[in-house]
Amino acid sequence: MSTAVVVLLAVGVLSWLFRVAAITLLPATRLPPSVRRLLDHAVPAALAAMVGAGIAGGAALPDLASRLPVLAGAVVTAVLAWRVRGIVLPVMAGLAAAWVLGVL
Amino acid sequence: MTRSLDDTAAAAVRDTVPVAASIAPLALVIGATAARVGVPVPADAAGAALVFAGAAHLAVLTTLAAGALTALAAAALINVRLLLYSASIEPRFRHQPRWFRWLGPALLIDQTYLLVTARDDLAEPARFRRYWLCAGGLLMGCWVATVALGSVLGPLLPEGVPLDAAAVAVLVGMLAPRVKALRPAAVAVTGLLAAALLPGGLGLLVGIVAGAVVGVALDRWAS
Repeated sequence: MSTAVVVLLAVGVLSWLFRVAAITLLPATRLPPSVRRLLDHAVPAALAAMVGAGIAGGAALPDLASRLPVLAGAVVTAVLAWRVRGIVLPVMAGLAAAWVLGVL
Repeated sequence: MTRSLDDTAAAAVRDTVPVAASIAPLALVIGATAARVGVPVPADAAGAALVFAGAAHLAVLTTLAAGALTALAAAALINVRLLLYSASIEPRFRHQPRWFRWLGPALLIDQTYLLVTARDDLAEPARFRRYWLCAGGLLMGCWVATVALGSVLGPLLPEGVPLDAAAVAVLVGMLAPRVKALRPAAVAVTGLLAAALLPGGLGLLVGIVAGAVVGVALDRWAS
């Protein structure tokens, strides 16, 4: 069994525990407000960190020229996602921008 | 009762179809990314059903190169919001049968949470259960099928297709609507820069923690 499959299984079990915990095991409404606020911020922080890691391509101080298509795709997606509802159009436009820059 | 429950099931299907269509692009990207990193189609489809959370699933596939623990931590931090959803929705599960209280939450994701909290006609336990199982079951079925389709089509894509750009674009598409205010924007910028400038898995973890800490600090400063 590959590492990816093992990690996916582990994330699946952990996710189910998160889902069932406050319903069946431990009421999360009893968590202190500061902890709840930290959990609130964890989502945008995690998404943004994944975006940053994705743009950098897994290396420190990346070669910006080689990552320019990914960066441009992210910028185009962000601008459109702020202006329109839904994820499909922004993602397709961002992907198209990245593809065009990659070909040039 | 039977008629009204059938109406509830029909309403769940009507509500869910456009939602399933909206998450299909993410599912296709996840499937294609899984194929590119060598995860077999049945394993990725099973993972899609078990994880049933796009951003966390994508996090595992895109951060695995930084180490299994890093990938696990990133996915866990992304999915920790499910704790808040389950706390919020707990009253709807309070008077349900035991089996449903343990198994029903497996269908809890952003979309099913938003679907049921947008309706005011699900106070009756049987009606909520019917709606939840129909909407969540349909959404999970569509999700797994589309991820599997992406896994099958992924290897057929030309080498030049920038899947890493697609993965980043999907994440940006999910992030952007959350950062329209100053405080979440500061959280996001902190997390993004830290993750981009520091090496691999360390950058990812430092980015998540730094972003969340900046958010809490801004909360305290504002109050």
